[in-house]
Amino acid sequence: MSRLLKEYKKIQTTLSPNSTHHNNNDDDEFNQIITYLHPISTSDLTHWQAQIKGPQGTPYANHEFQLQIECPPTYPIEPPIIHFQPLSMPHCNVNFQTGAICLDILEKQHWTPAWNLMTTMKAIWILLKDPVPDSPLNVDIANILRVNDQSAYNGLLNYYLSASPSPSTTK
Amino acid sequence: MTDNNDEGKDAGSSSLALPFADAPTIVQAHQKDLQIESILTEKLTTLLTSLKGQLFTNTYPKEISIAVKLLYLTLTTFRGRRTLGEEYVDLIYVDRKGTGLVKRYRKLLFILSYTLGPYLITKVYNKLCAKIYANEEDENRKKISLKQVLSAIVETHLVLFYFKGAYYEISKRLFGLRYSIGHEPSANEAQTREQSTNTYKLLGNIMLLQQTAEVLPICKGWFKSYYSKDEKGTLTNEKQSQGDIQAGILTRIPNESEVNHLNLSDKEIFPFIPEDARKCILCLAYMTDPSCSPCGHIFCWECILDWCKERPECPLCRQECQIQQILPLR
Repeated sequence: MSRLLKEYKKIQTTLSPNSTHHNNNDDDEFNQIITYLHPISTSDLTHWQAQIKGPQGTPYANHEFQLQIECPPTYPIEPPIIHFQPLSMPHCNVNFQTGAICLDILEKQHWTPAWNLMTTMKAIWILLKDPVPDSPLNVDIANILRVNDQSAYNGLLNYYLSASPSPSTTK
Repeated sequence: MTDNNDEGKDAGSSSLALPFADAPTIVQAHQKDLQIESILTEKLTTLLTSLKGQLFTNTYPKEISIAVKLLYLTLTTFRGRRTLGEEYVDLIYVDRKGTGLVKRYRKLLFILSYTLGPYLITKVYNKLCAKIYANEEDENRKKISLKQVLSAIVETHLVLFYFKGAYYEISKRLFGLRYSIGHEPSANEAQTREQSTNTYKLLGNIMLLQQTAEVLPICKGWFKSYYSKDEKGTLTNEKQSQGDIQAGILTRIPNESEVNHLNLSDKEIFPFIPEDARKCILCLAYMTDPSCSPCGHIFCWECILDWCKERPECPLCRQECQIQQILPLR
């Protein structure tokens, strides 16, 4: 638990809005990726929520995506359990219905405790930038990617992203 | 001690003085007070959480409970009122002889030593430890025995209380705050009191046995080392301080108090490790007992061991790292 407390402090200084604080590039980079990352209630550091920005140069640009994070009691020996908001994320490695993410470092056998919540957010952001159609959770999008049909890909994603309700109105 | 008790009996039989309280009554009052203090602590914690946030209350739980004790005792004992626990079993403070009330400055001294004493002692003690660690290995042993002496004093005091039922806290003994019962007990009450007092004496006997069992081996060790010192000088001394290492073989797992932990928050330990590399990536705190994996990455001993039990690879570079390959740096 003390590790999560330390992470929380670090996140607070890194993501603080007064950017005079940020003296190094890493902090700037995290600020460009993460809108917010905080525990749902300060009395319970095992449940967190986050919002990340869609990477520029992808259909996700100018959209923001909410994530639910759950840290098991054994964290950081075991990885955090992270989901996108259900029905909000069209991505070949994300289950559209549940929001589950297929990412190796979030699995027990590939996780290492050297990761923390902020770097994990960055890993998910990179997954948005570089989808991996060979281990899909959304087969339709993966198939379009495999045949490299860019216009179909962009069109489908734009349709989903503009049609899907904003996270605040999702039930 | 015996003087006190005799005088107590005298005071009890004389018509004016009140009888001294017995051990079970005092414990009962103490428990009631503890309960009240825990309620107060909870309230203060909630208040501080809303004012200063969860982080603050998580960092200073000890200080908060001390503040509550200080507040509680100042509002009751120092003002000349009784605490709720004392009221519950009808106890009042009297001086050592049981013939007069306790002076105010004594009460103040008691409150300060009772609340702040243990806290300050541990703080000073830890500081001393840190200094001694840095200076000399040999002094280490003295420090450990100091800790043992302190806990022995506390335990002896408890045994005395179980036998005599006079002072439950050391600070009350120091400043002479004894308890009397505020009324003449009826025959029935006196009988039950005597019975439970005997139970406490039995408890005292058991504790005395336990203490003897603990102290005897230590004395034996001192005795031995004293004699062997005469014969072989500093050589055996060194052996002893290494935690029962004989001819390079560890004969038992050393107690937590005997382990000489290295913490990198002390800048004088391993000064060649730069500041930005002194924290363990696993617990994010300054490393305790820095330990090296075969690939050369450094972590806390406990952190890397915990992880390698889960999966035997370096958390940073995923190179194979069996538990037996991890080397603690000394």
